[in-house]
Amino acid sequence: MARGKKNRHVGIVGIGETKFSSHREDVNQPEMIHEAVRQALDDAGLAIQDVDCVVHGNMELFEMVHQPDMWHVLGTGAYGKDSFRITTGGTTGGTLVCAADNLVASGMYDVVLAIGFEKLQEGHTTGGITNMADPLWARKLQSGALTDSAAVKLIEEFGEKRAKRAAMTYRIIMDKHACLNPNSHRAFGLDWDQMDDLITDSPPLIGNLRLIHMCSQSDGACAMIFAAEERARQIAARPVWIRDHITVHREETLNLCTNYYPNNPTHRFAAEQLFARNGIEDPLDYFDVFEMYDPSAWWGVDWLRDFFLLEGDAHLKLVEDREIAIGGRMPINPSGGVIAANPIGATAMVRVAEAAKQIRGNAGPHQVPKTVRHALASSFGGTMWTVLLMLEDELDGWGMP
Amino acid sequence: MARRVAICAAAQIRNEADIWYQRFQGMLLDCFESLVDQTGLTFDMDTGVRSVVTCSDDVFDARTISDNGMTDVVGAHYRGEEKMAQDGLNGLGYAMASIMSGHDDLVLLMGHCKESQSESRHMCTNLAFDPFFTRPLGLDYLNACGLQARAYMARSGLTEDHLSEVVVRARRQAAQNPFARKTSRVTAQEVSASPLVSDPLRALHYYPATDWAVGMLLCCEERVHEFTDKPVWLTGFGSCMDSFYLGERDLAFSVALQQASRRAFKMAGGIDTGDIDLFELNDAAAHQMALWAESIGLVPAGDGAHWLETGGPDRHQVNRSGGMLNGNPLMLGGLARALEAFQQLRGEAGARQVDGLQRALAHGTTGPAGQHHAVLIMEN
Amino acid sequence: MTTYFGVNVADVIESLPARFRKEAAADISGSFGYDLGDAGRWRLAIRDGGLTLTQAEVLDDCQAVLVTDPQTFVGIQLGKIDAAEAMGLQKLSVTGDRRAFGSIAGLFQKYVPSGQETLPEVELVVLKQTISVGQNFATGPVMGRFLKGLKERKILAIRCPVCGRRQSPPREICAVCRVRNTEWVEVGPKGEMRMLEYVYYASPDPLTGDTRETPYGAIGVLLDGCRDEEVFWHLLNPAQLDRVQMGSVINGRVRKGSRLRPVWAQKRTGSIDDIQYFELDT
Repeated sequence: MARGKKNRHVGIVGIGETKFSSHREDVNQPEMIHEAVRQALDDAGLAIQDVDCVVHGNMELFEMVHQPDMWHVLGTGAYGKDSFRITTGGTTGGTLVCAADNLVASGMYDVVLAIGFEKLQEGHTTGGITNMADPLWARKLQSGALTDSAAVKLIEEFGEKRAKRAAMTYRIIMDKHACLNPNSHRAFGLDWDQMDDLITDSPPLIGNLRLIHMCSQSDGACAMIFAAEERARQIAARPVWIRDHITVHREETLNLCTNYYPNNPTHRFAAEQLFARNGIEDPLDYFDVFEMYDPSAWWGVDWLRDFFLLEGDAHLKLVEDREIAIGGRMPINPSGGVIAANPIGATAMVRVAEAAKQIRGNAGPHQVPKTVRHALASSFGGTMWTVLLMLEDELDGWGMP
Repeated sequence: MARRVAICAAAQIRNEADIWYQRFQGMLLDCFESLVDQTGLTFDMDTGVRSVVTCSDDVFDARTISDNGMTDVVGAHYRGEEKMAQDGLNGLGYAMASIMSGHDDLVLLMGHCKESQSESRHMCTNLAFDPFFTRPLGLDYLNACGLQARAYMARSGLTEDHLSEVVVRARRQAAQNPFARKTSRVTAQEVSASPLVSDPLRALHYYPATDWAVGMLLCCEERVHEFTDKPVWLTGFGSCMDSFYLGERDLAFSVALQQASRRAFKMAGGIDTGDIDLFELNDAAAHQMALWAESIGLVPAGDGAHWLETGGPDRHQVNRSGGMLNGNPLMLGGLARALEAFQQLRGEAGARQVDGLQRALAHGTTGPAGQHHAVLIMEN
Repeated sequence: MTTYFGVNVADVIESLPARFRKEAAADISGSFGYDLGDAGRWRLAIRDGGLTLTQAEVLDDCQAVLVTDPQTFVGIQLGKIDAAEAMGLQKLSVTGDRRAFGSIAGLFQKYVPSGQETLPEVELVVLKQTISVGQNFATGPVMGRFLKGLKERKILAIRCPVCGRRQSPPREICAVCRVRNTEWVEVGPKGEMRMLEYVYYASPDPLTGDTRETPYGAIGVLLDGCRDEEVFWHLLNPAQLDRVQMGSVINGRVRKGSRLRPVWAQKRTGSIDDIQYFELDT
């Protein structure tokens, strides 16, 4: 914790995730949320009456409802309870976890339910994202979340062949993970012998960024329940503890150009700050698993260097040696990550949920085959913003002095 | 028990009908500079502000991630920032939690909203209703207030004359506030003669469209002295969500507000309305001041009309600011209430000053006819 | 014959006439081909609300031909495989007029394998709406001055009084120093191209719904007078997409990018469009 001053500890005691898919046309927004809420309550063995406060967040223009937590009360269970609505774009799911942590740790609430969801309406996701740009200028130029900059950086630094193979290796590993996760939206069954064809034949979106590299557009919801230490131990056999979190934003202007390393500086800054204040010198050694918010395979490769504070081509080697696979030294996204499922409003929360499941040891077929005690989860959104969270299996060895 | 939290400083621009000459960034920069001037705050990662809570609404801003364009003017470049997408009073509650949790020592809160930007704020609030049933019926927050006013007037005996007197008083109070929206001083007859917009509400019974921006600095107990010698302590907070369909609610009495206030009173040490010296209730429409006063327990249920007739609002020091009724934008009404209470508790309320204050209540509403309520207890 | 997902391809294709919704086909006419590899080829001809289906070896006369393998075809019909994804994986392609094929998708009721017809398909109520609320975006004095400069064919940058960082378009504050920007400087109008986004897939403009013609180039230009990351973001003359070169400075290695100049619109109104695009400065 920042200065060892956390007022009280907070444990994750319930997790609910709907299966992620393209348009859920069989449910409306509150109904879809309700599915995840029910699952989280069942997972925790709680009834809605046991929840003190509900935290909700999304990007309204995607669902085209103003102050949606009002209508969504039909599915969130927030009736009669305290509730907050906090959003930060693509990082929203992570922000909701941070908010829940703050709210419970403060002593103001004992049990908090946080809900992230996405139900993209007939509108176009990328068009929805383009709406985030300054209406006076950038809106006419922005191409949503799509950019070639990550690929250009990697290619400039490591050469075209190596960079492209690394990105595709990452992609294939993510797909293999997705094939093990029953909740993923997309799991193609890609194999190594397809690598060369995919590199050349997948339809290009922007420059070297191809369709195969890019995350999906999914609908779905995720709900998580957080409880104060004493209560958490009553509720769950194995609460997953939130150790610390950091949010790092940056101004809206994007100065993407090829002499600007690293490509996403807030990731590196967040990692440096968070690890330093928690006394972690070697994050690659410390953590057992990392659920990283990876909107594209190119970014997935590039950001490994930032998050693990690596230098040179160490991150490329992690990918090339397949150490990022489920059985490897540093499993990345055993869930399949954002490329496999991207219900934007929930995605960042799903990273935390999946990391928590790994600590619990019962994630399912995509469980990493070793004891997971320390997990990391990241969020990405806005104009290269970061939320970074640390989860722990036990309370010993860290926390209040 | 977690450490206490105080507001150390506040800054605002004037509430106006149409700030066509500035965009949001300019509006907030004025507030930001004032706060830095007042407190000398820094953004050092160890000793300064590293978390900002913004308050804005994507639909009113017509911009996804409406905080995106504000990062630099709120000092959040390479710092944390989280957007409160409800009435800004909840932002104060959340900032309290952030500090009490130990995650932060300082939180900067910055809110902005321009109701003048869209062609109709009613088209915006119509979008809060579900797409299949209530939205196509044409419900918006104004109509919802109309329905609520009718229900409350039937139960409490409030008449149109009462409503008009409330408006007259609101404007008279606001005229003493240099930052309040400029509204014309009206007589009760003029109010009653204004056109019907949502029966029984007339145009002047509903708050006028307003643009505004505001900022506050919150701090933990141990470090308050670095920024001010007149901290205003936040000693209680509670919120509560009501049901969505208007037909499922008792529109003449808000159980959600009753709950929210009870929670805030409990947190503040088990107080009651008798322990509170000043009230700022978030009244978007003229019937709501009395309705909210009943719901928090200040006025016996059903007694609203009598309370208004016998000078209740003055006696209980309610809405010395003029309330939301004089004009604050939708997202920031509760923050305007908190700002008034803040100034009053510090003796900085000028011509509106009430003497001998120790404790105040600020109230915020979100959603149609107050579906969600937040209550904050503040002390000097 | 091989079955896929418990269904054989011929059943699916041959049921097309029975599933045809002629009331929706009034304005449609043309020939559409299905090339399903080992499972054969068919031509679908639609005219005057009528449909003819024939097996055909040659599909040259078709407006568009769907080319895929039988498994993918059946999978898509049954809703088990997503068509867009299949396309992304090169398991499906359309030769000819791709959009034309899209137009006939809605003309057929969903294929239901025999034995499952008794389950009535629930028709979901879907509400389609375009929601638009008019806006008056203020520019404020900072953006306002910049946009006015464009009208006069000048590109202005604002500069931080503390660190000297330039931003164009300008910001009210320097995010790094957290002080109000106060100094103005004219930059460019020419500069070096530092970033090129070669866009093949355009997203719609949220204000108009229009989609830019592809491919096009979005660029970052380091205008004369600017340095490091002070790039100016705009568009490239699409005809020059393949002639330009990105400049870079990576680990001390310098590569010069193409020199560009802005092409101003004839009629300028104080908006981003006052610059049509940048082009090679030859």
